[in-house]
Amino acid sequence: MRVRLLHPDHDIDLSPRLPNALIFLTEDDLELQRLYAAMAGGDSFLLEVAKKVVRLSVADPDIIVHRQHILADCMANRDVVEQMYAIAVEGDEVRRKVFLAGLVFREPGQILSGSLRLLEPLVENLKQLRRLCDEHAGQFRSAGLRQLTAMIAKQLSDDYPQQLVDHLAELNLPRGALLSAALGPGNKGRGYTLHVPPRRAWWDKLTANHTGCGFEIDPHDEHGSQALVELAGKALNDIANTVTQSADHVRGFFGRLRTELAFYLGCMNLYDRLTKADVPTCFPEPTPIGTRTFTCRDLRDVGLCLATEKPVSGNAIDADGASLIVVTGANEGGKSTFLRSVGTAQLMMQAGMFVASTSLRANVTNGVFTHFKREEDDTMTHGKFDEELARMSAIADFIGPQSMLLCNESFASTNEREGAQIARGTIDAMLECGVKVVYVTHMYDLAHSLYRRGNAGYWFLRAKRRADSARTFRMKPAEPEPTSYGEDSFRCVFGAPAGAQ
Amino acid sequence: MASFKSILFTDPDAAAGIDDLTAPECFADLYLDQIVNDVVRGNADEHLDRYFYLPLHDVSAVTYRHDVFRDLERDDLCAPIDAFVADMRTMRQRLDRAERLWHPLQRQGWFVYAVEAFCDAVATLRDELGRTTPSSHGLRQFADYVASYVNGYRFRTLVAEIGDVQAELRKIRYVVHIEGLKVHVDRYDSQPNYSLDIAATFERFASETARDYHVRMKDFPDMNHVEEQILQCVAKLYPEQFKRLDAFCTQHHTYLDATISRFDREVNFYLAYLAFVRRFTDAGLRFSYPSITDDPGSIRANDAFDLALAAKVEKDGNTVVCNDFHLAGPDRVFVITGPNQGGKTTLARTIGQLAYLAALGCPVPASRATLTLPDDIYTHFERQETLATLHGKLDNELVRIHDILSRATPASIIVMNESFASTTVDDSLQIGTEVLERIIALGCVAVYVTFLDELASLHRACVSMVAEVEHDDPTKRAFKFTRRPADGLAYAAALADKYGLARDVLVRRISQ
Repeated sequence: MRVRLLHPDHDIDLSPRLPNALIFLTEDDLELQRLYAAMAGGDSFLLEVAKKVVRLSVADPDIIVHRQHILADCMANRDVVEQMYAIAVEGDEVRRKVFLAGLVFREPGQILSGSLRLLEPLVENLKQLRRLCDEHAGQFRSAGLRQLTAMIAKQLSDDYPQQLVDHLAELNLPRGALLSAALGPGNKGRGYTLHVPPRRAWWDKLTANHTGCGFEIDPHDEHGSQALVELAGKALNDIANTVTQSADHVRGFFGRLRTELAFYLGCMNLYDRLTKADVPTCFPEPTPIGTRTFTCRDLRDVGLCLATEKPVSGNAIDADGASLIVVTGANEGGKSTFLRSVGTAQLMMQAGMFVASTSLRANVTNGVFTHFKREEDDTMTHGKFDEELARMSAIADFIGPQSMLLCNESFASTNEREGAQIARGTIDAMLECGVKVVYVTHMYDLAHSLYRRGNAGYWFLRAKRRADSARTFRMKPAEPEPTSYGEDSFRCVFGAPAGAQ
Repeated sequence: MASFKSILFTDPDAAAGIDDLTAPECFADLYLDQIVNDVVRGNADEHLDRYFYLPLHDVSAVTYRHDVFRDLERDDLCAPIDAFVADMRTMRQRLDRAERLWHPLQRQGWFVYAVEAFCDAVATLRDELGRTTPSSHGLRQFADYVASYVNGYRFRTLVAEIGDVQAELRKIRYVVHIEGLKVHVDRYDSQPNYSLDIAATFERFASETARDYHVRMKDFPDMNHVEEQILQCVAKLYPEQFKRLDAFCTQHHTYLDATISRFDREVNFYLAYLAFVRRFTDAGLRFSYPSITDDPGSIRANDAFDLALAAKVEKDGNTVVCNDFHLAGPDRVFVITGPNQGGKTTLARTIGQLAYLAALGCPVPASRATLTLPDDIYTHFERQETLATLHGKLDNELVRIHDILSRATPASIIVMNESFASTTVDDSLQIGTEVLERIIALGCVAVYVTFLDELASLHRACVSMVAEVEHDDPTKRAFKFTRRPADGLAYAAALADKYGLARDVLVRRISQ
């Protein structure tokens, strides 16, 4: 039994592909914790799932669209999905309901009875799930949910749950254990096989004209009764294994169903939050890897939208064909916010979610990496510039071709010439490997030298500044300028024009 | 029937009393004890090392073993004999069980099982040996012996009867119904297997990656009293089969053929040694069959190495340094000198080991070797002082060397390591000279490790072997030995070079 709501064909592995240190850096740079918290809505399970799924970017547009359809379907049938989730939670947490403490799982007989006690409530959950699907399967439109409900209808066909119940009763061995064996080395029994003991009346008839012989263990003989348990265990071993694996599977199925539904529930939580704040959302259009598209309207940074009550302005960018986007311009002009909005939207798109924008079309990438200016390394192992280089080297260990790298004032902790030199080297290497780079910088040397190359794949945006010094937080295509309006900042802080005294 | 008796000895009585042998005196000094322990480690026969305590004194006996060794290096002979030895081990384990178990029906069961292993082992060996032709006298005769044994009446009856008994027993299947404390045993009446039913029902819940929940059943060969009672019930349900089993066991109590059993034990000497050798040949070291002579004083080897040291460093993935040495014409005594930790003792041991292993008829750790067959190998290594002897250290050493010299013959080999060092240099030199002169007078082969360069040029029977150091770094030992006069300068010269104090350099520096 398979869930397949995150991928149409197989259960994707939810363990992280990148080292934790790198993941945490990216999430910290993009301030994704706000996004996760909004998806979780206070539920720790939802939080964990949101993190796992968002981290595992999908690079196949078909799978992204598959998830988008399921998400839309979930939004349309929210009640049913929530009921399904409730059943999945119950199944997943079956161990809490069945008290198994005190059982020692050394004998197949004990393992079997432990698993039977788990399976009994699980079969009830399966029945509930079947009933829910019978009632509502027709409402679903997405391929993913239709596949799931069809699978449930098929695997749990009408009489199957009853068959399970009957077997579970028989497996409790109400008439003792009947086993057969052959003689092995040293005339010791081997090849133990379990049989169903006949019903009593029939058995009496049978033994009446048979030559069998028997004996009885003294009730005080503990070793004897232990020996009987061991003997039965030999015949029960296979069955105990099968039944326990089945219990695992059913529990695993509910666990998986719970996990995959949790992602969609998380998306709906986020949707509620954004809609309440009047943030526009849309399903982005993913284009294949390597196609170099990026066109958006009113793209906003989800993190900022969730953090503030104030309205957040969005950006419209037409950067189809860009392999490098260099962002320059005013301090506090929204460069970092823009950079985060690009990274977050990319990650959300590649998780199969909607994005905070009225439209977005972008190519998928092999992962989003960030290199943001950071506080001094407090472990004292590196100087500031050392730390930057070490961090870029850690990224280089894992970044692959056709990934995305977001740089925010990288290599600015040394003098500009040196920083620009290193930055150019890094950028050239990344571009050569097909990595899409968005680089926010105030290093005029760097931006200008790149601009002068006249490469059609290089895009230059500038944080726009109106004549009255009010930031618009909008990015416009423009040639890099030699100042970043530090004067504005100075005036802001000191209240008078620099050099006015 | 062919006249084969032993695969190790041309004279079958040579091994009489072998189980009571103890290691020769030179064993510990030459690290032969470590080597032999390594060779026999893991072998089922805990007395296999005894065969290594019995060096040969006859060139033809050595040749007999060389030929068998060469045969066993061939895959077409090694594989079937390896398999045979493994089968025989299985047989012995089963017999061992049969003897240790208590319940008669179980003992009989294991006995039949052991006999079955024996029959299989011998029959397979006959078939395999029939497909190939050994070139050694020993294995050819053994193959003939096995062939005629397998065709003999005794073996054929054994095989036929055991087949019948086992077939009957294997047909038995019985059911046991356990209900509470009641146990009922009956003949099996084709009841369906419930596990298959369950597996079919739960199949849709199966996944490839599922964890295995099978409990590992402890499979003791013996039974508890419940199983015994069940077995008695089974015997009652199938009386004829068990009567037959009983008759077989009484009749074939002494089935094991003595010659085959002896071969099984002795051939392990070859197999264990070859397996040991393979560890080193895989690492690039070379072994060879030495030419063996009766000439006293005939010693020559290329690329020889200390096998005990090689076994030790092999575990760390390293290899040892190989050395050449030989005695020519009147040469009788290797005098080994050189810096401390330069491998002097190792070379002395290597020479002793080669001589001993050659006398066992084994391939030796050298790419080429000619070796004399000594009547005995004596070692004179430094000993811990003990109160028991009531002598001082030097006295003790002198007592020991006196003892050795009174027993040694011109055909002996004496290995001496830093002897008489526990006195002044003058005394040491004087005693060393005296002893060496006696050895030279005796005319036997000797190895003398010393820090006294003078001894190296004492007599024309002395061959000087000097340990070398690395040219560019005199603090590093090369563990290589060359045949040249001992000058005691190699190390000093190199050190001088390193610090720019070599004569020419120093002259230039001073003249500047």
